[in-house]
Amino acid sequence: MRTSLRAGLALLVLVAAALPARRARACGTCSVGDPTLTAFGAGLPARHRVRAVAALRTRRETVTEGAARLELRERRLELGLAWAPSDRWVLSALVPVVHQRVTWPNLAEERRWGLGDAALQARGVLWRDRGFAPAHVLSGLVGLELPTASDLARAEQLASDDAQPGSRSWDPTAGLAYAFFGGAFSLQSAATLLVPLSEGFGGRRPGPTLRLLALGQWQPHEVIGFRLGATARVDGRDRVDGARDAQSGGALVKGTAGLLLAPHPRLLLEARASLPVWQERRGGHEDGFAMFLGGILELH
Amino acid sequence: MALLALHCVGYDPGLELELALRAEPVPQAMETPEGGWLRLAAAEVRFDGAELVACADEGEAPLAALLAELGPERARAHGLEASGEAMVLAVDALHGTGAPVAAGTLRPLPGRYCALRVHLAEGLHLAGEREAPGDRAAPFDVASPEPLDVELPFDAPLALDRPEALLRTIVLDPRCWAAALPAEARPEDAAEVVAACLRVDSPPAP
Repeated sequence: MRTSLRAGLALLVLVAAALPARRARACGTCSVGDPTLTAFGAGLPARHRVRAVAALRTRRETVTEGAARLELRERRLELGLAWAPSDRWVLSALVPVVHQRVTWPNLAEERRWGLGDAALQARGVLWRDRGFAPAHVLSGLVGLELPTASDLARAEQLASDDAQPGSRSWDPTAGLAYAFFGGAFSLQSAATLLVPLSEGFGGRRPGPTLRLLALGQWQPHEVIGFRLGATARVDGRDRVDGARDAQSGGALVKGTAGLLLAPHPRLLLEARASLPVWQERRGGHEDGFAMFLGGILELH
Repeated sequence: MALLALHCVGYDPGLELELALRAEPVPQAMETPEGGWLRLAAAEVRFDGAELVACADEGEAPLAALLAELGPERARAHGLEASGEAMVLAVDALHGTGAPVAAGTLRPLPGRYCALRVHLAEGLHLAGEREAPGDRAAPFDVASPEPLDVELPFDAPLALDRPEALLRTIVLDPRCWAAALPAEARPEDAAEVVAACLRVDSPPAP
């Protein structure tokens, strides 16, 4: 009996040894020493980590003037790539393709698609509390939004420079991001200032914009996380042919809730919805419901 | 660079009201109601805009009407300024042919409209001579110093609730000026006379 047990174990060992070794797969969260699922642009830098993203954003905006109302519905497909050349830096590029449906006050409807403003960004870790699996990470952000947006003006355009897929101006950005990784709970926050340097569509130079983000995350399991937080934006007034546009600028706070799901160690899916909780925008502009659906693939 | 040029635009026009202007031919002499004659030497009319006038709420409950009066003011007229187009036309009515000319496009909001409000620009000029029965012809030359808005009612209300293209023609008919022009015409009478003789026509039913 004992002899047969030994023989069986020996056979099992031999069979196991004969099987081809399973190839180790890249695991983004493993490489940075923290199991927190992180959205695109928020991941910890790990040398040679490469992430690709494809995301669909939808948003709704209305512009009201007296009884007249223009409605913009926008769907934005963003394709991006982030590469960490070292454990300190992450470089990313994002190219949006934009589909818009504009309904004018007289029920006229424009449907159009084109390229939005592409964005480049570098994120450098300024401080972390420890080298591996840090709990606190402070990063600096610098970037540039490029004037790549298509000019979607119709030949008999009824209005407007602000219903375009981008500003088509040179917009450098700078900011700070802080992330906390505390096991099941994590926090992502960022403040970014965008200061357009050139005129875009129709001689319009967008005003400076401050973007704020604070998202808490609860991850009860290694493959799923829930996010809740707020984003805010403060826009300065645009300038048109050198004069300030009184119908532009304002401030907006949105509440946002979402879900991160990792069906595979190399794939992360994100769904997020946001709704304005307070807004004070000039020119009758009003933001509506927005959605984000994205997939992030860990390439390396 | 090729990507930058990659885009596509489609457009459905929505509610559009094409406006045309028709100036009727002017007879050499027009008979006045008193049996005299009016002869025109100059008739220059300038339009600088038009807008649709929403119907007053019909059948509104008294309480709702009261609340509407007390509530915030509502915009009732939606004109060319909302559509980004302007109707600026100078017409030499003395040489009207009776053929309509395009006068612009209104892109109104959905609603029910009962009239077209036409803006007559200042400087409207009428000149000629007027001959009372048994009297010598007396010249007149009046130019309106102020602009004037004229409301031209439709035969039937326009109910606009879905995208469609419509046509209305503003008719400038100098043949009725002979009746409208007072014997002692003042400058402001020029616009009043033209206004009294304007109307808006619908295209004949198919």
